[in-house]
Amino acid sequence: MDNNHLSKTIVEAKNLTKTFAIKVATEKGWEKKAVAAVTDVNLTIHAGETLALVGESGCGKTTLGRMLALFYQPSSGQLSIHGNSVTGLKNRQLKPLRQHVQMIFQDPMSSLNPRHTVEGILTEPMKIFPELGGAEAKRQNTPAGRFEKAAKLMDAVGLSKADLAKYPHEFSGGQRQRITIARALVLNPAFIVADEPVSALDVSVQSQILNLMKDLREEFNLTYLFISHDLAVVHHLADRIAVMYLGRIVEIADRNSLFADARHPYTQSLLRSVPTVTPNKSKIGQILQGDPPSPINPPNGCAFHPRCDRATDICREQLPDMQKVSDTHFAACHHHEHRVNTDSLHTMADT
Amino acid sequence: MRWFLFTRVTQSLIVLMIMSFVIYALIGLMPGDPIDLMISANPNMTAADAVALRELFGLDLPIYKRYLNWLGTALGGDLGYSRLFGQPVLDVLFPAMKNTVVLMGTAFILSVCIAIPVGTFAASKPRSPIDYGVNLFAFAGISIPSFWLALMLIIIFSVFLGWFPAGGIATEGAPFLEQIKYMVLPVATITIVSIGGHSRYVRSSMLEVLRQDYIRTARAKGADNNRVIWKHALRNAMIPVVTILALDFGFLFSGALITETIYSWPGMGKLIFDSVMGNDFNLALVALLFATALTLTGNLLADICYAWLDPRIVIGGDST
Amino acid sequence: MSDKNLPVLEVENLSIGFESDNQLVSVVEDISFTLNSGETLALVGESGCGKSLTALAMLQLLPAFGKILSGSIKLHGKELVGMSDRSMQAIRGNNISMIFQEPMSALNPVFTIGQQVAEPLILHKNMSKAAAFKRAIEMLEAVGIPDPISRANNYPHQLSGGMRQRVMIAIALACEPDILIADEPTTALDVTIQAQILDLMHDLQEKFGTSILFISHDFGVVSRMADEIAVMYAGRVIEEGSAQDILVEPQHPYTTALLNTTPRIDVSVDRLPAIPGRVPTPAERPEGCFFAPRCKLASSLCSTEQPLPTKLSRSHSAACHEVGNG
Ligand SMILES: Nc1ncnc2c1ncn2[C@@H]1O[C@H](COP(=O)(O)OP(=O)(O)OP(=O)(O)O)[C@@H](O)[C@H]1O
Ligand SMILES: Nc1ncnc2c1ncn2[C@@H]1O[C@H](COP(=O)(O)OP(=O)(O)OP(=O)(O)O)[C@@H](O)[C@H]1O
Ligand SMILES: [Mg+2]
Ligand SMILES: [Mg+2]
Repeated sequence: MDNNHLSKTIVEAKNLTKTFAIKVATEKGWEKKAVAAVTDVNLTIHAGETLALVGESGCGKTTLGRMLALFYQPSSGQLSIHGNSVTGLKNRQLKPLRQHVQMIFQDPMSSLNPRHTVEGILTEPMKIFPELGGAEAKRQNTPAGRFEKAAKLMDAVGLSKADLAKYPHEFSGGQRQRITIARALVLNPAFIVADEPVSALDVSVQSQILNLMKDLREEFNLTYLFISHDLAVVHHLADRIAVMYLGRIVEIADRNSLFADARHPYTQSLLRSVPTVTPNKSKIGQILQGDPPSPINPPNGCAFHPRCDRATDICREQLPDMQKVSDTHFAACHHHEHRVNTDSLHTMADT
Repeated sequence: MRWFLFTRVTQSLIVLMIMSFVIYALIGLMPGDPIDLMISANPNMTAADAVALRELFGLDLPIYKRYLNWLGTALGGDLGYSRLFGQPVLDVLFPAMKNTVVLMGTAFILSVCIAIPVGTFAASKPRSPIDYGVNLFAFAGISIPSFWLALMLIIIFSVFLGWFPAGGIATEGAPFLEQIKYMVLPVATITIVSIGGHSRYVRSSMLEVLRQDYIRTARAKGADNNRVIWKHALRNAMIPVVTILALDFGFLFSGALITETIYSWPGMGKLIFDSVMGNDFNLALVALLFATALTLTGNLLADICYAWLDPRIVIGGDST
Repeated sequence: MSDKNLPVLEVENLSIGFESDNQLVSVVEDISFTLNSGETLALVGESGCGKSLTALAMLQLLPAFGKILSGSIKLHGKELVGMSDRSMQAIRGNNISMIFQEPMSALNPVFTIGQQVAEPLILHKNMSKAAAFKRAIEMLEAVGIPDPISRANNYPHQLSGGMRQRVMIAIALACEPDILIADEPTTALDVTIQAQILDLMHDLQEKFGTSILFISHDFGVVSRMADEIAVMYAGRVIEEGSAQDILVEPQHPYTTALLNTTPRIDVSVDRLPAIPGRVPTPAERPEGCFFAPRCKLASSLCSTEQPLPTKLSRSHSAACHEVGNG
């Protein structure tokens, strides 16, 4: 790969927001309200990198991922994928762009059609997008050519050509996830949104899939948005990490700065909460108390302030901007200069 | 709650309004109109007379205009005269409705009260002989046509044994026991026909609930089997059953039509049948509307039950 | 309550199986472990290895067609296997309680949480409804539910996942049982909420002296909680020892591989040393050692003969042909 490839931008999001209309119960019966699932997200993802998205359940990871994968229309803000602005495009205009972005889901069983063979599953995207991939690919888009490609992908994800004739229920969970990965690769996408791809898998199988995703990243020159709630997995795979809280990105940094020098108090408590594999029967202590607030009635000012022991008046009143910590590290906290050595927590536990 | 009732009643009224037009239009489509009846009754009438009369009664107008005319007078409280009975429609309808509500209500309550314990008991011992037995009887009940069952009951209990009258209803003010005597066979017919379905709903809903995690929690607390089933599972199992029963209510109503006709029970079913057969348009229209209203009321009651059973359903009231 | 380190629960050679079409499939085979008073024993293993079944067997609450095939379970020396349903009911929720993985579905949606916490007290302690409800509010306070008096009248759907798991713990500890069985109590929760629940369990163990059988697939969580660890693979306990033994000096190749393959935030590796293949289902289990087909050290002996647990030290034992004799 050429060098400037690394700096090429695959995804650029500006003030990306998604609100859902939901019904909530009030004294007057059902009332329509807007939930801001994702608010004002600014994000750049470069070619070849893996950006991880972490945060508590319901903080908007999936919603953001789906917007970037062109599954959801943003409510406002700009988004460009692979250099094409997609803001305000109609479904028909989006279709040619969909080849660049693919998505992998948490539950491999429910995302595979149980009535199709693996061959059917893998060749279907090529039938839907017959015009893709230049003259060479078009010429190969024949039944035999499609089978060839499917077989090649099966090999790439560690399954065999013979498995093409089988149905999804004949595979184990890990193998099914391999199939969904193969399907995601059919159209040679540049960008893959993986929404908790290993959360449903056993530890020993999870590591196989993580290794596979790493290998494929090199082989097919992929860019990942890797959504996960497991910081250990993220630590293993990601180049950069974005931490979300209540619909907003509150901290984004390269892996090493985030784990060694987290600045947002939420990130700090996340890191403290991760158990390490060292015999240490004891309380963790100093952990984040309370539950995340509801996105229907978000708190004023910094959304984190009700759970933050560092909160001052400014936090209760004013939404913090993204503050620069270093060239590769930003945190949205009024008190971002306050450091705790999260690294020492784990080294302490080691000794 | 008040808000909920208000919206639901409004909804029901709108449905009723739409239904009234549909029924009006359908009756209008039936061959023959009142003037045809007059012609057949009076051989001296000429075609010209008929046209004049049609104009007089507004029968030459397009259907929606006729409907609006009818609606205007109906909302004014005048539902017209029954041709068959020579009385105001409501005077004919109210006693019939009372009879139907008594008959159907009794049968429905009886069926549900038997089906709940039977279905629950079958579900608590799945694949046991008891369960198979209940299933067998349920299927038998579902597959027996109600007219056949009604005839059989009449043959056995009134013709051979002479225990109960074969049809009709006790005269107004007759002793209670006498009134009951007339009810037994029709109530038994409707109950037997519907009990099979009802107990199967209860059984399958119960089986589903018994698989839930919170049932395991109840057992882990040390609750015995009876407590698990009757306290922890039953109320949950009733939540979907209530919905199905409400839908069933309308079904029951149409079933009652046949039963009432066979037993000459002077209810809505028989009234609708007679009025349609006798070309009594005013009566048929209003009777059908009342039948619709009754079904809608059943659904409304079901919704209220539903909210009462399931705390997750919020009816207007405040909840967090 | 009994002294520390005395066995409260002793499980010996327990086998559990399922009966289907007159065929008996054994799922958990011949497992033994001991839970000591005031201690936490963790049962660790991957999905399907039989952790939940083992836990449910302690309460004799196996799913339909599940059966204890052989072995013994002793509570304070009293045999539970074969006990009448009635006597077991007196033990469930009173001497042994259990909490489950899914706090969302483990609470009954149509009763208030106060009623649900009060129920075991009414069942076992002969308390009146009012007294039990009052005690339930105290229990809700003990598990850290804010504003317990008004919360007691809430229904489960009005609570967050973490709060519901606290309610489950309150139910389980209401009668101050000797043993709490926790089947993956934090798997469905966020890490920060998980940390809250784990800390709560520490506090409550100290306060009530409860012995905990803690079930998890996550070595990270286990290392926070356990005094003793038993590692399960495909229905067998393949290694058992103190937390130190298992986490620092694992001997069985499966334990070692599993520990190495778990991503950690304190160690960076380029590739995770993956274990090839997957856990065999009960029907696929091979002859000999169940782990042999995936084991780097497997010899021909391993594929023919089932290894027996070998004592490595006073606390540590492993079932592997390659361990202890070489
Ligand atoms: N289709 C939808 N309609 C209404 N609200 C939605 C919808 N999808 C998501 N939400 C709400 O938006 C918020 C963010 O949801 P999202 O699924 O993105 O969270 P997440 O971070 O992926 O959570 P998890 O870790 O549980 O998957 C939640 O409060 C959710 O209830
Ligand atoms: N009701 C059942 N009928 C038949 N087999 C069952 C049943 N329940 C469990 N099993 C089998 O028993 C084995 C052990 O199940 P168990 O639920 O104890 O696993 P586990 O270790 O708790 O796994 P997990 O981590 O997924 O909860 C599984 O292989 C499963 O196939
Ligand atoms: Mg999600
Ligand atoms: Mg389990």
